[in-house]
Amino acid sequence: MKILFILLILLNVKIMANSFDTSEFGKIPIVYRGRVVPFDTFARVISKQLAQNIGLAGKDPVKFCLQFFDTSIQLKDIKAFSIKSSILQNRLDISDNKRLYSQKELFSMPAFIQFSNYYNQKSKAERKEQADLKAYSKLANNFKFILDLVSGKVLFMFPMDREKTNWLNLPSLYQEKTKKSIEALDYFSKLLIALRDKNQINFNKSSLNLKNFIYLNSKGIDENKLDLEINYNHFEPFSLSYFIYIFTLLLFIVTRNKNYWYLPLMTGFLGFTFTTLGLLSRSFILARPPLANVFESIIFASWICVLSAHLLFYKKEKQNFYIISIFTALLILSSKFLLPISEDLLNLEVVLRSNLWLGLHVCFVVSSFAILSVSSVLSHYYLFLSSKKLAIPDSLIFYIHNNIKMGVFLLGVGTVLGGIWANSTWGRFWGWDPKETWVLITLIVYMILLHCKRMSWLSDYIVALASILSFLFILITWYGVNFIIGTGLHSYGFGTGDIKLAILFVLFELLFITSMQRKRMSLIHA
Amino acid sequence: MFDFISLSTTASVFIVLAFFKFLIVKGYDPSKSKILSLLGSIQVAMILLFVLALVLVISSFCEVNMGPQFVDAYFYQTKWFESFLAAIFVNIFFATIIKMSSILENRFGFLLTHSGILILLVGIIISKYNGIEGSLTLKEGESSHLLLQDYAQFEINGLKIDLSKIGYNFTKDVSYKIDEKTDLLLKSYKPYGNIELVHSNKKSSFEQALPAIQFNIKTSGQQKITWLSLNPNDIDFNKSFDFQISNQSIHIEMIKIDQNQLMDFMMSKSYKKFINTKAINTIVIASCSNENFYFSSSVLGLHRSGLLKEYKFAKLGIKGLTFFLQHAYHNAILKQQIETKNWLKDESYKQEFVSFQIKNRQKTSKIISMNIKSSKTIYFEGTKYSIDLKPRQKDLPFQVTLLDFKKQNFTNSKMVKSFQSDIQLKDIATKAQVSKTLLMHQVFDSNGWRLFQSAHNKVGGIESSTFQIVYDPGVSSIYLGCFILLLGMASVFWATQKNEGVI
Repeated sequence: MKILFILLILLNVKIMANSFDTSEFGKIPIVYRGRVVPFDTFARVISKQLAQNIGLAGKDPVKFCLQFFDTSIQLKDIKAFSIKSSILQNRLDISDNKRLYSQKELFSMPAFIQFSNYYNQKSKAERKEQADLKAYSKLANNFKFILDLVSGKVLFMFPMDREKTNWLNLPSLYQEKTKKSIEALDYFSKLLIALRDKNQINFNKSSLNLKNFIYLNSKGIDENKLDLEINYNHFEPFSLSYFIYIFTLLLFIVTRNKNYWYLPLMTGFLGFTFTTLGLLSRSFILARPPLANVFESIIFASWICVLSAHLLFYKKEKQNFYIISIFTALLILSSKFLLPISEDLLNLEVVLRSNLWLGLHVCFVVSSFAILSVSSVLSHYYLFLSSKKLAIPDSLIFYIHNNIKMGVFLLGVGTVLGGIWANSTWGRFWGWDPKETWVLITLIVYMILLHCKRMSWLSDYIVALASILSFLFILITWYGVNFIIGTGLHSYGFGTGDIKLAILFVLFELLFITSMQRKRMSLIHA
Repeated sequence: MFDFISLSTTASVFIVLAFFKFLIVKGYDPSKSKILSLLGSIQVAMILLFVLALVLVISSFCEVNMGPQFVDAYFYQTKWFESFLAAIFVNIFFATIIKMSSILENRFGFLLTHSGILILLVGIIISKYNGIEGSLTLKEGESSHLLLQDYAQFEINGLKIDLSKIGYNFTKDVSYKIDEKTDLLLKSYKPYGNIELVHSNKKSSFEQALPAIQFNIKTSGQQKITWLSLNPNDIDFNKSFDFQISNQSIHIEMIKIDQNQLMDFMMSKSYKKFINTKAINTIVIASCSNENFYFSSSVLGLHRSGLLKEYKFAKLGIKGLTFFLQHAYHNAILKQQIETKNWLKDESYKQEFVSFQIKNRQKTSKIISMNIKSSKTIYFEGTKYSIDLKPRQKDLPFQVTLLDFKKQNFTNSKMVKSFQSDIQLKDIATKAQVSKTLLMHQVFDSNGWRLFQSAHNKVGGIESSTFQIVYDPGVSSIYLGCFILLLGMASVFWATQKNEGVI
């Protein structure tokens, strides 16, 4: 704990030590995608778009973003573009892939000029198909976007009237020519001058002036909410809890069978608290339950895993199960890094805009996914123990079975609630949408498992095995429908599907099962 | 959830179960009957569930590849799917009765779960047979009482056939009598595809083979592919064709001429001798008895003529206007065929088709395919038939008027924040009027008819709003069934946990 605090303080000191502090500018509200956000959020989105990896843009995205408005630097000298695609790197003969390039650097490479000529000859369809052309068109779009940014086309940060909802961007502010617009322009130009001269005092003063101007001329912006959003951005609670869970696993290995067995429990709870805080801030910022896209479902599922771990497995003798639950949460969280999903704070589609139903339906369904994944990982543990001739705790199969029952019940409730919501929104309870069909398939598969278990047709070993296989259906319902099938009404967060990942997972599961089975058979024969 | 229908469904399910309980108390033992034991056995239940899961996996992949119409036609709206659900009903029903006669514990949870499923299934059947669903699109200020349903209605000379009632997936020909002499045979329904034309150069004994060509007229950005045929029996292909292309109207006509008239045709600057039109731009295609096609054209005042060779194009290149001859047959019988091979790539292949046959006593017949939402007039054996394939319309018991439509966007964004319609409902029987504002998630219920705001559109500055209108008497039974099922699940869950007592 102490080490963690010291680390945090060190990090902060490092940020403070930077020469020019732009944090005051980060607090200025700006309209982005229909939502009033602090400039900090806007800068984060932009640096992610340009640098493709937020780490490359440096610790301070606001500073990164303000470079483009700094008149002491020439636009072509700003190092802002990353070339991440390995095919494009080969094409351009770039070996150093962990840095950003300026336009001047890029256009001085003969290979780059050659490739851009080649790109210009290609048709639109070809540009979409070939991977290198696709990567280049991303870069070309970023060049275009920079011009929009510098000219202020995307800077919708000047409200003119408390009664009007539309905010002006920089070009329309020039044309407005009213007393207020001149005032706003004055603040903005003073800000740019302070930025050029690196005058910290004037910069902070003009930022404050501009911020006050915006608050004065607009209605319904909550300053606390914007501050919360900035804190959320800086804190990155989900990444933090991810690392805490890893730390918990390491701690468990160290403290196992010792007097300090409760230490992993405490760090696990710390991670849980951070996730809770993150989820709460998301729901406060967006004024909706944090359950509307794949990213949020992943976070919520990991939260449920850890919650169930604290509720069920807090005793010493169940510590193995506790760690397995934390491990499950970790696995779910790591898909955040593997999948092409957006973490951005976004407004909801009109169809989904019903907080109560959205909250209830998704909460139950995602909880059931989480609990069933815990049962699946517990089943892996069962198979592992039985292949090693180790003593299998009596309660292990009980918890596998228990979690399946709980998960199936929650999935049933969630599906019925979804049906009621659909009936109140679209006028039908059930419509054979891919997500609906797959939930039904999953329910049937688990129902078969539960009935067979109840009739005592299955040995404990087979139950564990079936639990692992049934979880593959959950995987299709959760991941596959959105990323591989990609149609239907559950249209939150469809991504360009990566079927390789799913196949890899299935192969891993099959390999695991067969290897465990073989070891077990050889044990029995021996 | 608790309305008359749901309560009576639930009551009747429980009364039937209570009747069997009464019989059991009186000494009847259903588990002694081998047939009942088999029907209600868990083995059968597991097989049914397994097959259901398998069918759903297959149908889900079909839906992704072939669209929702396909799975509706071949899976969910079929009789066999319904019988499958019925089989599950029978299995659960007898399983419940047998369970009631056994003396084992934990019957309460079992009874609740399985009777919940029974009520749910009854609700599904009530909804399927009595439910009405459709949409209504109104412009601002418009009013209507006609509901457009998804199902198609086939109409031929006043005879109306509801395709949803036959079930789309008719495997045998369904026969109807149009008049004294003529019969109609519905052949097949295709949930996706597009009409492609195939020709045959063979002379069949029934049909007369006559010349036909396919051409393609192109200007920059526009093109038109059409068949011309001299065969009067080719319903879709006329001998002349008019269309607009790049603000020019062009008349194309096909004629048959003798060899000795050919010189006249080639030299002619006045087309009146051959055709009866006064169009400025005219292309005449002549099929000559020497088995060649010739053209003579007057496009934008320029006259050209020449030989139109098979599979070669003739250019009439004026201002980018090009005329391609794609196919030319002297003894052709054109046939429509519904092609399905391109359905994945091409949007135009996502159409629904019905094929049917018109047949009379002299055993002459004609097979026609039409896509849903189209109409056609055909002449068969001297009689005119007008055929209409359109969404079924249903009279609503009330008239809906759209008074005003409002839409709100997020700040500086094209993303819609909310939209709403001010509507007025006028009951046709009682003339009572109600006004109401419909928002997303705010449903208007009028005697079981529920109105939803589903979509909006703006054409030519006029806002229009689409409402989903649903009458679903079974949904309350489905709700109640689900509720009882979940209650039962919780009870089974709780009871078994207590029994096992491992914690």
